[in-house]
Amino acid sequence: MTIDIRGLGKVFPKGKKTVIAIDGFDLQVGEGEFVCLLGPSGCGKTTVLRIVAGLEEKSGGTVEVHGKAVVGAGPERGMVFQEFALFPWRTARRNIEFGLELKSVPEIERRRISSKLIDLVGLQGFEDAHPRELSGGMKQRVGIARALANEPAVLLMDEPFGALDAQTRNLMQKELLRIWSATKKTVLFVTHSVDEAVFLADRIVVMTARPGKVREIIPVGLPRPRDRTSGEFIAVRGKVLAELDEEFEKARAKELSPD
Amino acid sequence: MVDFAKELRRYFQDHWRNLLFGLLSVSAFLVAWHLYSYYLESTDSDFAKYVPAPGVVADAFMGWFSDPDPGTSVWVDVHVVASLKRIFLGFVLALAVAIPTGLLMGSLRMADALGKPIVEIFRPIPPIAWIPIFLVVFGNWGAVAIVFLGIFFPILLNVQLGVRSVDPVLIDAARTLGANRGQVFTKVIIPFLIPYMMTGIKVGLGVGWMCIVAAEMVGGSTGVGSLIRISSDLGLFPHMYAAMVLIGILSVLTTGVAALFERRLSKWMGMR
Amino acid sequence: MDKKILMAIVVAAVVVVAVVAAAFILRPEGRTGTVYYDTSITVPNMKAALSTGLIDGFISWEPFVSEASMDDTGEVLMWSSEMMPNHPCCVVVASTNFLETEDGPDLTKRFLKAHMDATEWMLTANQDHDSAEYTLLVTLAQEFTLRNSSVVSAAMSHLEYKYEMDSSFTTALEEFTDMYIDLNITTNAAIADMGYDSVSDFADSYANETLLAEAGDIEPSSTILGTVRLGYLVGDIHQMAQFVANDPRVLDGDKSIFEKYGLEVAAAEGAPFSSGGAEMDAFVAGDVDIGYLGAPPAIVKHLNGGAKTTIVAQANIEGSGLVVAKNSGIESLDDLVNKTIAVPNVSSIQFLLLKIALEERGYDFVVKSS
Repeated sequence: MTIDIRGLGKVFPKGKKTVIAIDGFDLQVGEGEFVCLLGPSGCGKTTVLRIVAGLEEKSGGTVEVHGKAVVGAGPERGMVFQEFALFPWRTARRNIEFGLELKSVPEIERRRISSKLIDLVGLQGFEDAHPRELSGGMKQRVGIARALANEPAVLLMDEPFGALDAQTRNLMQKELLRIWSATKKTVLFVTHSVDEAVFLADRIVVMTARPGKVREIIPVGLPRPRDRTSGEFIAVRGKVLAELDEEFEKARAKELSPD
Repeated sequence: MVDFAKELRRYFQDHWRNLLFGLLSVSAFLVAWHLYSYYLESTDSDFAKYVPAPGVVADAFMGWFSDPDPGTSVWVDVHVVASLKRIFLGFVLALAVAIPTGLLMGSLRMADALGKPIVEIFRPIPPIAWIPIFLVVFGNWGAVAIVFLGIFFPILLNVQLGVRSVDPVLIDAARTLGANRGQVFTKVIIPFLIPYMMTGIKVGLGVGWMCIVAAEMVGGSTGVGSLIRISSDLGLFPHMYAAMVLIGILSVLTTGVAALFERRLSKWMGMR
Repeated sequence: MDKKILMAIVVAAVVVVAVVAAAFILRPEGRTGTVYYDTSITVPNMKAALSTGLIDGFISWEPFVSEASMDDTGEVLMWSSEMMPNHPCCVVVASTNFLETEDGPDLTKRFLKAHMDATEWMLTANQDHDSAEYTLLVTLAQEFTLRNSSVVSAAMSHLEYKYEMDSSFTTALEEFTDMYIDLNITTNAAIADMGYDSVSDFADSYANETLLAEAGDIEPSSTILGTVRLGYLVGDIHQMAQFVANDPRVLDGDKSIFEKYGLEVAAAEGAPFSSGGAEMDAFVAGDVDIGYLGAPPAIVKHLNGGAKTTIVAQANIEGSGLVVAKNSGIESLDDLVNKTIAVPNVSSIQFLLLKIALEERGYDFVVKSS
C-alpha cells in the first residue's frame, strides 16, 4: 500500500475540554490511485491530509507511506496548498527549484528538471515571473510543479482549486488529470465539491461529521475524460450527495447544539 | 550609467508638475524669509543679525567650498565626515544588535517575555534625553551611542514584526519540500524579513540623523551638529543657518539612498 | 541573477568599508606643530576626562583648575596670567536698551557702586586670611561654586578681582578683536557694520567708562528704587562680586549691598547661564539688564550678533589655568604638540589665550577631528 492509515485519531485541547477531531479513520491508497477526501466542514479532512504530510501530529493510530511510518514533513510527500504558498520573492522557476536547492542539486541539473516541469504544467513564457504577476491558475501550476520537482511518492492536495473562479477551476481540473496521467503519481485530494471529486477521483472517501471517520468509500469507475452531463456521472454524483447530505445535517446540528 | 540617466529623465517627465510646484513653494518661502530679514534690519530690530537674509546664508555656505569654516578653523568636510562616521558606526552597531535580538524576541516566547519590559520602558524615552549622560559615560563615543539607541528600536520592532508576520503556510510549504529548521530560517524567514528590515533601517536612519545632530549640538567639537552650536556661540549666524541647510541635504541624501536601496531590493524580491 | 546581485552587494560593501577606512586612516593627522582642542567636554567634567586619559590637558576657569591640581589628578602647566599678564577676564555688561530707559542709567550706576563695594570688600578680605571677612568670603565662595574651602581658597589666590577699566583693558580688547579677525571669526566689515571706524575705535567705544566714574558718587538709599535683572555664569568664581553684593551677611545686617543702594536684583530668566554666548543671547532676547560674562563673548556677540550691549566695568583679571596630567612629561607648551586639550568653547577667553600663546610659538591650534 502506498498510503496506509489505520485507526487514526486526533484530539485538540479546547479550553478545558478536548475536542475529538478524528476518531478511528481507516484508509488504504494504492500506487497511482487518485483518491478524494470529501466531507462537511470541520470533519477533519484537511487534518487527515496534514497528518499524512507530517505537518501535524496524530494522537493515535498508524500512518505509513510506502511502509514507513510518517514522522514529520518531507519532500517524498509533496503538498499543494489552497493559498498557493509560493515564495513571493522567488520567480516561478526558482520556486519550482526550491526543493532541489535544499538538496544541493547542481544548477544545471536543477535547470533541466525545472524546465521539464515548466513544460509539463504549461508555464512556458512565465517561468521568470514573480508570483504576484501570475494569475491564480498559473500560481497553482507553479505549486504543482514545485511539489513534483522532488519526485514525491505521493502528492497531497488541500483544496488546491478552492481559490479559483469556476472557469479556471474547470480548466485546472483537466490540466491536473493530464499531469497526473503523465506522472502516474499517487494523489490524495481534499475537496468539499462533490462535482470536483466525481470528475477527478478513482475513489471518493466520504467522511462523517466530527469526530471524523470514513462513512463510505464510493468507487467512481468511469473512464476519463468524464462527461459531466452524462447519466453515469450524474448517478455517481447523486449517490455521493446522498451520503454527504446526511453528514451535513449532522454537522449543522452539532454546531447549533451546545457542545 | 546610461540606464540611470534614462531613469532620471523618465522621472522628470513624469513628475515635472510636482517639481514645478515644489520649486514655486520653496521660492515663496525664500522670498518671505528675505522680506522678514529685511524688515528686521530696516527697523533696527534687536535680533536682526539672528535672521540673516537667504543670500547671506548662501554666501556662507558657498564660502565653505573655498575656505575653512571660520568658527572651527577646519574645512567643512571634516565635520561632514565626522558626522557620517558616527552615524555609520551607530548604524552598523544597531544592526548587529537589533537583528538578532528581534529574531529572538519574535520567535521565542521566553525571549519576548524577557525583553519586552525593558524595550517598553526604554523605547518611549527619546534618545536625545540620554545625551548629557552618554557624553560623559561614553566620552568620545557618546554621540555614536546616541545614534545607536535611536536606530536600534525601529529596527528591532520591525524585525520582530516581520518574524511574527511570516505566513505560516510558507513555512508549511518549505517543510513539505524538505526544509529542516535551519533551512526554513535561512531560505524562508530571512528573505521574508528583508523588506521589514529595510523599513526599520529607513526609519532608523531618519531618527539617527536627528540624534547625531542633537548630540553634536550639545557637546561636540566636530560634526555638523556642533557646527550649529559653535557658529551660534560666536554669533556667526549665517554659518549657523548654512549648517542647518547642510544637515538637511545630508539627511535627504542618506535617507534617500536608503529608500532607493529599499525599492530596488523589494523589486528584486518581487514584493512590489 | 541571484549571484550577480549578491556580488554587487558585496562589492558595494567592500567599497564603502574601504572609503570609510581611508577616511579614518588617510586623514592627515596634522603637520608637526599642531596642537588639538576638544570642545565637547563641559568644564565640570574636564577633570574626569583628564584622569581617564581622554584628553591630555584642559584649560578652564577657576575653581576647576585648583580642584584638579589639588587632588592629584593633574598639575598646572601654565596660569593664564603667564600667557598674558593682567589679562581681562570677566566683565560687567549692560544692555543699551536698559540704559535708554528713564531709570536705566541711575540703576546701572547704583549697580556699579554695589559692584565696586563688593569688589573692594573681597580684595580686603583676601589680604588677611585670618580675618572674619576672609572666612565669610570663603564660605560664600563655597556656596556659589559648590566646591570645598581649600579649593576655593586656592582658586581665589590665582585671580584678582578688579573693576577699573584702564588702558591695559582697552588694549587687551583690541588685541582680542584683532585675533578674532585673524581667525576669521569676525570681520572688519562686521565692525564697520556696527558703526565703528576701526578696531581701536571699537575697543575705545565699547567700554563705557563714564557710568563707572559717576557711580563713585552714588549714595545709599533707604528705599528700593528699581529692579535689575541679572545675568551670570554657573559657579564661575570670577563673578563672586554679584554673589557678595547680594548677600546680607557681608554688611552684618539684614541688607545686602544691592539693597543698601536701593536695588532689587533678581536672577534673569535663564540664569545662571552655561556660557557667555548663551547669556548674550539672553541679552538680545531682552531678558537681561546687566550681566557678568567673559569679555570674548561680549565682543563676539556684539560684533557678529548685533547685541545691543556695552561694557560698564571689569569683574576680574586672570584666574584661568592650563592643567595637564600628573607625570605626563609635559613641561612646556612645546610638549603640547599633537596632544589634545579640552577648552570650554571657541568663544571662551581660555581658548583665545591659549591660541594666542600657541600661535606666538608658531603652532597651529585646531579642532581634533575625532
